[in-house]
Amino acid sequence: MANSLLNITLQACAATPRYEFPEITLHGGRFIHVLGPNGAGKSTLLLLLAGLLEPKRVRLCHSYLHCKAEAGNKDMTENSIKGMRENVLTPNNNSWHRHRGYFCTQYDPSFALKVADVLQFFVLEPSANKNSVILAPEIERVFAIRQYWDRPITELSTGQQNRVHLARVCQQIYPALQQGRGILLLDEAFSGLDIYYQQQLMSLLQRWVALGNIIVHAHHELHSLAKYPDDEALVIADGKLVHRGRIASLDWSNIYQTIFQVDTI
Amino acid sequence: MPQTNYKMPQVCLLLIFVSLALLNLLHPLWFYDQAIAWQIFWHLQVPQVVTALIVGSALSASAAVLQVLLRNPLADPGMIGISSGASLMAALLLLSPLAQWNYITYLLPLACFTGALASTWLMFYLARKLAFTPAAVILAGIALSTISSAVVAWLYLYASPNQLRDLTFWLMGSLQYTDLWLLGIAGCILLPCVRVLSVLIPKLNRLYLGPQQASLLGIDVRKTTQTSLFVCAVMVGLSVAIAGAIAFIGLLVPHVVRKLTGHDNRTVIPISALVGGIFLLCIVTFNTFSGSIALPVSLLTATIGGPFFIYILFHRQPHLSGVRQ
Repeated sequence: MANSLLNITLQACAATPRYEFPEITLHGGRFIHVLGPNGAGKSTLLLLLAGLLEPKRVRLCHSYLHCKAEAGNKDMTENSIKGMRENVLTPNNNSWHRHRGYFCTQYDPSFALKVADVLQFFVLEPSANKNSVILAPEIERVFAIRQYWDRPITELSTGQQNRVHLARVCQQIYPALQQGRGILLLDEAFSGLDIYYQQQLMSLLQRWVALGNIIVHAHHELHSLAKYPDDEALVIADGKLVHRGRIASLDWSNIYQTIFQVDTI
Repeated sequence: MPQTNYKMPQVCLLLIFVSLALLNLLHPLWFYDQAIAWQIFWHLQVPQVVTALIVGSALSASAAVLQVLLRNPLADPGMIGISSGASLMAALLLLSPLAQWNYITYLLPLACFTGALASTWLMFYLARKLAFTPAAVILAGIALSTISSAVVAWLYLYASPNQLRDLTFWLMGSLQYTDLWLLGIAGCILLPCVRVLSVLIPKLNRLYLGPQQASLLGIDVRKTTQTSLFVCAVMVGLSVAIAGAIAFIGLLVPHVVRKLTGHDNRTVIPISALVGGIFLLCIVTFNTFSGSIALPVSLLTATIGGPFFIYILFHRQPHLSGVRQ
């Protein structure tokens, strides 16, 4: 695991009376799976983390971002970093949106934007014209969207549209992801994707986790959890966090029975 | 070379605009004695050409902005009730005792602006309550427009013949009721709007996928929306104040420009403004050379815009019609 001290703390969150989460601190270099039945509050938790719903406050251990740049290769202890001031960040804070990417599967297609437009308008530094939009090679390779470049996104299938939006979200914070300073919040990122793209995406995300980034993925892929024993799981039911821990250490037979109402998967 | 191609449409449009403007400005010099020609030039042609430029540009640019804000490619200041609100306030002012005041001409822009701002706010409030679905925005606008028109129709019952003539001007639109002083004031109001719009345009690109996605990129959506709506209300109010309610130009122009140039608002909004000016200049040219009486502007724009609107409805993207094909 990367020596990452990037943290997000979400404090005393209550989106509505129905959803109430305790203080949750997510550490850098972790892949966090958010699991739970339909309506449990997975998407709400992601919206809170993204700052799109108003929690009491979201904290990013901002000091690390500066310290790493200033310290260069010099080793810094965790305690010395913790002693530094933590900033409370709002959704519109420049520091925050350059580090946080959020993907969900619901986008409003009011205008028939071309794929090139979607990427040009929604990366952080808009370019002068659509021909100069450059995707990072690894993002281009994993999502393979260049072939749709001049097609209206509304004409693509659901899976193809999701690949475009995933590429967009990843590209938005790519500089941060490269430096292990990114927080990627994914709400059912595998929805509509072929198994090939699911595998490609998962290996890309694992690479970014190894660099020290935080990946939070809300999904229903319970059958695939066994492949990632060292990842972290947050199990949510009825708007409450009911289980948290390493996937390998949780009592899954109990979780299947009590939370998902099945004996096994 | 790509940069050259990128600028080509603007250069061609500018040439068309300059040609039409010169044709309208200079034609009296060919047909009349010099003294009369200069009178026509200064008191008729220059105000008409400048009015066409201001009104066409303001209506088209504000429609292009409103379409993005309301996430509806069919939004038009006339159709969604903004022009109607401005016309209603103008009608109320014209039927009030203040109409006898010598400087009523200069009070009208303020009344139109107030009406435009109030109806913009009301329409936006209704649209937000109705979750910004394209149909809901149009329906809310039609409801507002209908209410405004109904109030104006009631006012007809109480209007004198002179007031009736003025009211008809506000409802049908005309480019011939301005003078250089009024246009000077309009220009002074319009310039700050252009400045604010130039700052807002890059942010508008990020509103295409809705306020949530814009917010994720650090855009203050509330502030951007409020500022944009305010600027649109000023520009539409200004247009109604100097030329009455002109229908459909805001629907026609940005729609065609988006079809031809794509969706980048850095291109769409300036070109829409230019094309809007050219479109109204074409109407001025038609009126100048048709030899008949000067036709009301809305008569011509609605004659072209109505069938075009039906064309758009039948050729919309499948996803916009609510049925995937």
